[in-house]
Amino acid sequence: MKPTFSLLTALTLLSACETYQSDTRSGELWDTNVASANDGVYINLPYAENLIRVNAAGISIVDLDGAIPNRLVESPDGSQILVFATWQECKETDSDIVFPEDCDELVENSVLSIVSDAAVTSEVEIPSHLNTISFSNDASIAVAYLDYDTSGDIQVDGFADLGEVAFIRIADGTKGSASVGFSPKQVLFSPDNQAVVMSRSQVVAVDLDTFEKTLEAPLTLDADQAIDPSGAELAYDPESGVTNLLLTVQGSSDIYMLNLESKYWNIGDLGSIPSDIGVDDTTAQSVFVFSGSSKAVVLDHTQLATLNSSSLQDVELEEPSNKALMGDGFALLYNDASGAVHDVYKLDLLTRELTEYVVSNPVSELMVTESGNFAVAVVRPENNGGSDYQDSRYGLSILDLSSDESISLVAQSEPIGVALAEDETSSYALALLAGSDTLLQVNLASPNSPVEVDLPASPVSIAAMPDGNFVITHNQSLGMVSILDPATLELQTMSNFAVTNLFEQKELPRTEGNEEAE
Amino acid sequence: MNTLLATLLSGSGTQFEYTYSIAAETGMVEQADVDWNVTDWQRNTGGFRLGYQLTSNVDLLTSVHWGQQSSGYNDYYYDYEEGYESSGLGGYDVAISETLMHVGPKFSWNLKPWFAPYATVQGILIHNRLQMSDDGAFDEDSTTLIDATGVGVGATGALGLEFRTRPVGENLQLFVYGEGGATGATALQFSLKDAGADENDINIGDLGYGGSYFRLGAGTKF
Repeated sequence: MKPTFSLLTALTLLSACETYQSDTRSGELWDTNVASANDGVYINLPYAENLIRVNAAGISIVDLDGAIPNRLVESPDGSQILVFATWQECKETDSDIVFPEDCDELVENSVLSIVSDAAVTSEVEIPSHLNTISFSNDASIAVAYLDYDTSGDIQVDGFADLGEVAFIRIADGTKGSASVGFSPKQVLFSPDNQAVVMSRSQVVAVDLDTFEKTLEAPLTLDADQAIDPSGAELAYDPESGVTNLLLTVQGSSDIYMLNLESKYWNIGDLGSIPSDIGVDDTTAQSVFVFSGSSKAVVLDHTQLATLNSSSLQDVELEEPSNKALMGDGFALLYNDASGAVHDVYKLDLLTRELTEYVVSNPVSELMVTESGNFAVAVVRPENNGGSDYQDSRYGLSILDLSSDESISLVAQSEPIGVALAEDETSSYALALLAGSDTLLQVNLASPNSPVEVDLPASPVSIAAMPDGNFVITHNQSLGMVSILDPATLELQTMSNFAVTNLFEQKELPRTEGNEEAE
Repeated sequence: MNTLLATLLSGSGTQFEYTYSIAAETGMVEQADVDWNVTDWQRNTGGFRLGYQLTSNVDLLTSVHWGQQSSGYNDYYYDYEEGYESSGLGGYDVAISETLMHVGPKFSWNLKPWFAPYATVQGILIHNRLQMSDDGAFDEDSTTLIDATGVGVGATGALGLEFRTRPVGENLQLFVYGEGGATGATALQFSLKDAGADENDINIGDLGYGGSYFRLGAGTKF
């Protein structure tokens, strides 16, 4: 009998033990950084490693052919979603290896998938370190590059050219690339179908038809000197029909101007180190602001060809502004860095008339309506807490840009999302407050009686959709988004989508054995 | 103690005649699927087993077990590269209610009136109810609620040992048993009903049972 007892004991003990199996999945069930397209809201499911689209018809799973989505970017016209994704490849030849965790020689391939109507229309291999996308003016070309300021780890497989910029034609997924030097910072698109890329110590222009470099312009003749651009804009001169690049560099008061047609540089002195540039095409003028100086400088584009100190007109301010927000024919100058500055200035670029608005608290964010009739500032508590009730609280300041009046509202809690909406007669701010399950619609012409819209759950963010509606994400782990119609204030809420494919372990994709099994 | 045990187990020298048996039991069918990680450690199920004697060596058994596993995920999650990460979301709760039904014959070797090794092969029907919500309430008032069911079938093979007391009166005999073996079963598929575009179901995925199996029980024959 002894052997029978031993067998039973062994079986019983074996049964009672938890059998550990490897599961490397982790993360949230869904990412609240959603992407809105014309056909619905695209949502990344990090735990399930899936991409879904949610709309009124329901949930659709986007087949990325085994690739794991990392980040979503919507095209400007909302017709496509660009998905940064990776797919895992096992370099071992053992046909028994099915799951990634079984493979000792696993490599990751980075791709950019172009998605439309919940299906991949094309897929482009891109280097894994490219983390930022810019779109050409007509949204037909996407430019991917590495921006060191973008959060997240920089992934490099083998050797990588960190100065590589990838150009992707969205319609067919064709790709070109160019090396633009070290640390590309910003990509601008000129009217003559060129991409102008700023990088350390040089500017490179690339033809968007051929993806060939048309210009390499160094910012210094000293190879040992590193000049990092801090800001750049394209300025169109209506008299000559020439587009010029305006470039500022870190730690310098110089303004670099590059004529993209004649390829010659001109350099002027702004008198202080600029912190921001704004360009207004309506009046063909540019505005420079300075965090360390209480002035703004206006540059008339018609004087770009003969840039000198007389081309630059100073506008004196009471307080320094470090940001310029451009409207149609005017600039709003404000300071979001200083805790002591409460001034917002409207600079009329036609008349050079300066209007000063004093808001209740320091500005965190400033937005202007599409019509240009109102601006809304999200204000934060004073640095020292402030002595009075309003000083120690968040709020909204509404600037009537027609009557030059302003109203400051105190918020019950921190605004976690503010968006602007307009109809034919009125302008509104749609505000979400931390800890509140209510959306406030503030009529900017009469802001003292906001309309409250009850939300199904506490919100996380609000963003405009291409069709004019707004998408609100909610703090619900199993997934919840609401689509708000700003005209009717009706909500359409979709939830529970985050469990899609929750219990599906991903097999190694794009391998012969697994594809046959499928 | 030994005297008491010997007294309990010693019979009259002949097998007890019975038609039915009933027993309370606990046990486990291994959950051989990493997706069960969504709940906490596997727990034993509990239930009862009914028997009907077909011949002196063969019984027909049927058993039903119930169990529940649950977990609550708070505002953090574990990342295999970064460790515990703070979550931007509030967390969620999971509960899985298990029902396992076995039916099949048991073949006994009645070596002694008080001792009988046995083998059994049984079919298994498994039903699970998966519930998830953000507030843990699992009712219609929950802001989010997943309520899905899955069914699997399979078979269990096991070897066991049964110890019988001397008959209690003329009609009852108490017994205890333990058995171990293996189970194979189809995975239980869960889905969100009509949640997809064009009202098709959206896949949640499957949870699998299979691997080792054990049961411990005590009851009476009559």
